Amino acid sequence: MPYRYLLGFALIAGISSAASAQFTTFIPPQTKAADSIKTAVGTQQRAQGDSIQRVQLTNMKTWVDSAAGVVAPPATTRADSLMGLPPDSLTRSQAAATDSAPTLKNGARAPETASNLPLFALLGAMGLGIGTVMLAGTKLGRERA
Amino acid sequence: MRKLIGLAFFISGGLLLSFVGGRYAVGIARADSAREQWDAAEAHRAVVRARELVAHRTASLSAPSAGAPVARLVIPKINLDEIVIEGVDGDALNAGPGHLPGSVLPGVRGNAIVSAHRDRHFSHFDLLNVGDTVLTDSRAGRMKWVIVSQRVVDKDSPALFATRDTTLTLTTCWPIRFLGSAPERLIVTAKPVGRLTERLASAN
Repeated sequence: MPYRYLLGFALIAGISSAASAQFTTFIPPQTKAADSIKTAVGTQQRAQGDSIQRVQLTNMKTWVDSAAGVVAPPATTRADSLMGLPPDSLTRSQAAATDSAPTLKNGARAPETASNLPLFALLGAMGLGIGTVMLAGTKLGRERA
Repeated sequence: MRKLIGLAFFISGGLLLSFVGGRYAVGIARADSAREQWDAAEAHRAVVRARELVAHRTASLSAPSAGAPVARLVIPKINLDEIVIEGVDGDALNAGPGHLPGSVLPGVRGNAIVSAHRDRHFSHFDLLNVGDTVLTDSRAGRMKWVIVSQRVVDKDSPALFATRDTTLTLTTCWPIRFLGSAPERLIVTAKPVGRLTERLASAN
């Protein structure tokens, strides 16, 4: 009888300790839904981080290129002034602007730069001189008479 | 009778001289005004350029309006320093060298054509030779040019042509010392030798 009790206690203690060990090291399995949510969130965060980094790098590169004059900034807006652009961008925008302007005709004549003002000046001086001489001659003749 | 004829000569000569003097005076006044406008525009250009560099944007340019100062032309050899005005009509050429509408501005790819009277702004063009230096300043930037050819053509002959490369063409009447309407045109062609970064110094 005591033997039976001893065996019974031993079995209970062994099983319970084994069961306790099993339970204490038990890690409940994670659900598939929780896994997919975590993965999605992580992927999204990584993607956001990458894209922000890429955008920042791109902006920085544009800024450096622009400051160094390597790449002309894109023409996006119309300025309120008639003056003052970097030569290269001006060349492009000027070319675009002159597209709408009347173009130079091949074989056009040189502009009319002939001026008659020198001739008029000479004639005027001659007239003034002749008139002065004639008036003076008239006065001298009157005095002599 | 002699007195009347003398008086008629005197008055008509005086009127002619007054007309010529008045025309020159108006031209000088307009040239001064154009230079003031140019200086103001140059200052404004510096501000706009700084603003655009900060804002990372560029402007599109519209064609200049008639009578507006569009460039500065400097030829050190003949002490020429003039503001170029848009247009080649009588009023524009009376004020200064005129930029032919339809041609590009000096410094832009194509043929930029500037004309002036031989009795005023281009009065010493007979002293120019191939190899002489010309400087320009316009919205397209500051350029240094060298004269590569000079030719004289009849006033009705085809003289101006569009070019693919950057060219500066200066025209005036020929002969320079001629009384009356000159029968020929002097065509001076220059090619760029570089862009200038500093402001043009006065040739005078």
